[in-house]
Amino acid sequence: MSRPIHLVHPVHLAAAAALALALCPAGSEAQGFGNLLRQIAPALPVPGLAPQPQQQAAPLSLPNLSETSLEQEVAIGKQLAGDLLGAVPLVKNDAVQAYVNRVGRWVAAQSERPDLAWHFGVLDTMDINAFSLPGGYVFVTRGLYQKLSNEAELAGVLGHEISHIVMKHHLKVLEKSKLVGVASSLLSSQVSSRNALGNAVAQNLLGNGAEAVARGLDKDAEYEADRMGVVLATRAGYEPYGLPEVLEKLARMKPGDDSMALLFKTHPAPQDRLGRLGDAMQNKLDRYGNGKTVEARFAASSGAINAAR
Amino acid sequence: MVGARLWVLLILALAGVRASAESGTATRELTLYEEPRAEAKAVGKLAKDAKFEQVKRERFWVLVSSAGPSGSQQGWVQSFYLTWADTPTGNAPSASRGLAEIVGLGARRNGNVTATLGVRGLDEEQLKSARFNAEELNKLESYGVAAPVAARFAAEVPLDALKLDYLAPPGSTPAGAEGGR
Repeated sequence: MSRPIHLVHPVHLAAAAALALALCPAGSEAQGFGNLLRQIAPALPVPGLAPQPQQQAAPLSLPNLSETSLEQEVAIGKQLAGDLLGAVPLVKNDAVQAYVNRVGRWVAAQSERPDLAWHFGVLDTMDINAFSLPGGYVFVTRGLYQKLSNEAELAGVLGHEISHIVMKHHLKVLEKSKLVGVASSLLSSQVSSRNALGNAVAQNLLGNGAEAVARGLDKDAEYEADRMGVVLATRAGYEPYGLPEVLEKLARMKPGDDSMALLFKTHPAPQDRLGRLGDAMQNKLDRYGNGKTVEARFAASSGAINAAR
Repeated sequence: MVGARLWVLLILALAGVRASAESGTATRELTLYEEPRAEAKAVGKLAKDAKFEQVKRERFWVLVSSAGPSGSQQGWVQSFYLTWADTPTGNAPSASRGLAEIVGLGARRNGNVTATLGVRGLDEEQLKSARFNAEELNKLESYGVAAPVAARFAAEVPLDALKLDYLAPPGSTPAGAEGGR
């Protein structure tokens, strides 16, 4: 696939890539970065762009060249969300989408980023998964939605995804690659109309955006989002065990189930997540056991999603 | 004929959901409680790798029956550290699911999702080849609601927001967590 990389001056790109290479950590993120690098490498006459970036691994203590601004974060998220929706559309049912946006917005309101323009969507695929993208974009698949039994479970799942955005987990992976920050700062000195070009930059540097959701995060980010998701749902007045109940359902599915393939690739095993969550929760949230599960309202919306085809 | 076969299937499916599936193994030693509350009296231990049968369930608490050192024992445990026997109908049925969906669960578990329901799955190739869809993005953004709308929605239940700190990662031992005894 050809990419219009000439939007960024080759010298700057080369500098960005060399810098990114120097900052590239060993291990899994190096691999993700490697993918980005391979996409632009053909245009780079940079010596030392050998195929083993791990050899040049350096500590990550060097400062970010530029913190991604909120505006940039939202632009990146928007771009990636549009790409993801190109892979799989929304369930065509306004009632379900409206319902999920209300539950999600209420849970997000309990987070440390209550003022983001949060958007929630149910994707029309039987694959079992949920996604978050920078800037407040959260998705749950129809396959996962139909596994849920009540609003507390939905709140737990959305809480997990909201937590990724609160902690900027995906954004940090992108920032660590330095390409987003470097390219943004280089461009900001060259262009005035940032919006249109900003999107183009996101497109170029992120590769095909939808793929970003398939890359996954490290395990600790997932465990952290589990711990936070439980708390966000509980803060929102729901019974705390919604997310653990969903994880148990996933753990009890057949391991070879095709509809879980991508989830298993990008997340630790559900049984492992359950154990970690149990270790963190212990009995600490038991006093909130009188939180609500909200079965009736959920059942009404589930009827709608089962009908939407 | 077809009708009779369907009834047999229905009965088998329901029986599977209700009964035989609910057994498993403890992944670590667990305290058995008299009631489904952590403050309840401890009535025994479930050894690591011990097999159990579920007697009943209250949300995330499971009343298990197991062969103990002195005969059969029962007690409540939370479901964090249990693995369940691998059965086609192992999932707890949900109140919101219709009969047809329960019957259909077997087929769905077998990975025939796409064929059964006619909705495509989602894989990496699909994601890689995806093209930006502005129309769907606009639709997504049109569903967004402002905070006050969500607050009114919460008040219908009502859901009462409360203050609560995030949980520390296990092993990080905040003050007093792992202190002796």
